[in-house]
Amino acid sequence: MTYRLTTGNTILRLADNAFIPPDPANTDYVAFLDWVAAGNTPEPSPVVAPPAPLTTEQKLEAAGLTVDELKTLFGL
Amino acid sequence: MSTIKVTNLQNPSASSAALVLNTDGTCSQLGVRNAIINGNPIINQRGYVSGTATSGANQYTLDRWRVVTSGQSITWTDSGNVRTVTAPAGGVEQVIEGINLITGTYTLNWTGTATATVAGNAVAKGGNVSITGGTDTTVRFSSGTVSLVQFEPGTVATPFERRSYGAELALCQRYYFAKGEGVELAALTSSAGVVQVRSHSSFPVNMRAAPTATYTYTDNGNMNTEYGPLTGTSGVILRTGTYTIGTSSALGTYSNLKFTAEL
Repeated sequence: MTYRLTTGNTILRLADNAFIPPDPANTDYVAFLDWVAAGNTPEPSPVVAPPAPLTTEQKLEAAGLTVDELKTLFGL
Repeated sequence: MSTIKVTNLQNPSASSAALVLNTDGTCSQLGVRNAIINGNPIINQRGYVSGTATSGANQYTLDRWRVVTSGQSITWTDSGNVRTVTAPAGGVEQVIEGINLITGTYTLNWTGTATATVAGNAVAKGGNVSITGGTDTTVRFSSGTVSLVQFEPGTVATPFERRSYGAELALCQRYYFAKGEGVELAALTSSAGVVQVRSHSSFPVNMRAAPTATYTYTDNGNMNTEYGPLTGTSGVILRTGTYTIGTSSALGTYSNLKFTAEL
């Protein structure tokens, strides 16, 4: 049995991709704590790269505008 | 006002009493008596198939019932809406949550050929055991058939308590809940930039503990890796990963959601 930390406070059990909440009454979480107490270490949380920021063109497109329309709007 | 003092109420033609009045002033046959959930185990939220070998120790099968030994299984037959289970040599057992037990004498009864233990001690049909209130207690059946399981306070085995399917299902869902419908998380085209879509779903009943969650997740390619559900005893927050809204909508779908808070 192996585990992976997540970006939140839940634990991912890799055998069945089960998300385990840090509730002491949850038997799966108790099993995880026992596993750690036995000297095991969970895999670290994956580093999630932040999404790339939108370009100006993408922002315009998302707003339903074109560059020409914007120029017209501002009288340019 | 007068008082009729009797110990039993019994039809002359019957072989046993319909009502037994206890010396402590209680009547065992009244109220919700059976501490076993799914004692007539027709509730099967996991969709366990009769005879399927388990892949691990203490694997749950029919609701609230787990097979003790990995690789063993249970089988069953149904007749007149009574399910008779054949317990394997290693046993099939139910852990009764201590919160449902009060200190005192309990009686275990069942129909069938299986042998039984309560907290590891052998108990005969209709046998009595002393229970410490608030302590999780395991009832196990081995090597034979078993149906209509009842574990009730008092020293007398009374007829199997009939509860409605809905009431029994609700009792089971305190420990396990399989959500039949999928949940879609949608984000429409927007200039909002970086977003994370979340949705809250309530459980049909509060669960014993914040449950462990498993699921299947798909998306249309616009949502990146999901962060996983956040569960509490009353519900779950489903969420996508963070992503940048571009020029198209994004859609993530959770399905096959299962929540476990078994003992």
